[in-house]
Amino acid sequence: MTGEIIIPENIAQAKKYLKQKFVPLAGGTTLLLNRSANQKLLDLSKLKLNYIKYQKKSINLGAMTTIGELLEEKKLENIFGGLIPKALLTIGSNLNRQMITVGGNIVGIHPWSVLPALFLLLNSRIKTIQKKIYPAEKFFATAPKSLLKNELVSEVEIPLAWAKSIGRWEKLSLTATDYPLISVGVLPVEESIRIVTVGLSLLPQLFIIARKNIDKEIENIGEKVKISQDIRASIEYKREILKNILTDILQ
Amino acid sequence: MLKIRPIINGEKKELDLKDPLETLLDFLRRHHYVGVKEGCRQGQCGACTVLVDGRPVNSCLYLAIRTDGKEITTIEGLGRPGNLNFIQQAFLETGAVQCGYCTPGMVLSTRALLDKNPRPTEEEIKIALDGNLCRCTGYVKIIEAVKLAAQKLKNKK
Repeated sequence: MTGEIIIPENIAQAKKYLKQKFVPLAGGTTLLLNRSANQKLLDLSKLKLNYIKYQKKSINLGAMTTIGELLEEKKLENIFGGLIPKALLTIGSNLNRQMITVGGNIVGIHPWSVLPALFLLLNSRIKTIQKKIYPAEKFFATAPKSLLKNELVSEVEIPLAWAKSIGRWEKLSLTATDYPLISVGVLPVEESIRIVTVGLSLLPQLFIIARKNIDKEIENIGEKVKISQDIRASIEYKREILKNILTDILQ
Repeated sequence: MLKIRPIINGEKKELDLKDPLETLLDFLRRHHYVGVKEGCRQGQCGACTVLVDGRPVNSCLYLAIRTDGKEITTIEGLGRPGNLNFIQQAFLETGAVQCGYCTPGMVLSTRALLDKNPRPTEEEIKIALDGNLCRCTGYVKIIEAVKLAAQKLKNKK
């Protein structure tokens, strides 16, 4: 299948081609799977967006950093109770994880995408090469592609204010590498508990509940959560499973 | 004609691309590295596994143009009949091969694992090979083979 590909060496060049309707190519696991004739691709691999930087109050992940590279970063095991690597290991297979990038996973969002939910849970900020900054709650309130238009994600900033909290991540799927029927991330923060869901709708859902009356809070989440049709399991099944997983984790 | 200069199995090459979006799988097979197998073409089965700069990737979802200047390792780069690499030898000795179609991918994923982690636990082996599917033998012998390869590596040192 023929097409065109440009590999810009710097951000200025990338911006120029973005305006010419070239489609950004990150890890390629989604884009190359759904190839169409005469695709015009903008390969981001030489933009030096492949890094993990430690700041005083945050960790900053370059958009082209792969899941495999994140999993080799031992320091990530020591924050949020090891939540980040545990969540990352639920993404696809080892081979996929060597290719999937931070930027690709959050922009080319699917119902099963883990990073959008993880970054939402950790109250992250998404930055673009156009120097715009989006709080995760805004970024994932709609499909990111419609928000970004000609912008390009450059990095994700994870604040470390809650780094000592012990997070949990649970995935329910038919096999270890299969798309999740449902995944749930939980992070206790001061007097509240942050909860995210994956696999229930296109966009991840965030719930912030009080630590008191956990049973009632779980029932409320069961009522509020939006669940899309899924050929693998009914809406009622997923709702009950969500409540069961939350009960197991929180009690 | 568009050309790229990867280092394949330790040899510097200058090879043509059929088109700018040619996958690494098609590129390698067209240039006679046929140990790279075509399976699902969806990044699910791992038959097309090769190493790019030491990392195992699905070559069916990896553009060849991205390997310009990079090191590619295919199964041909590990060993040949009569001169098998220790990982290939371990697969042979444990009977971890039946039809053999998935084996190049399995062996290369094992190589990537042992390069970074010479003494993996069984859980780490399962994670490292979770993208390589076998439809013949099941995985018991394959995991045994990786353990034996790790032992052989330890004995070599």
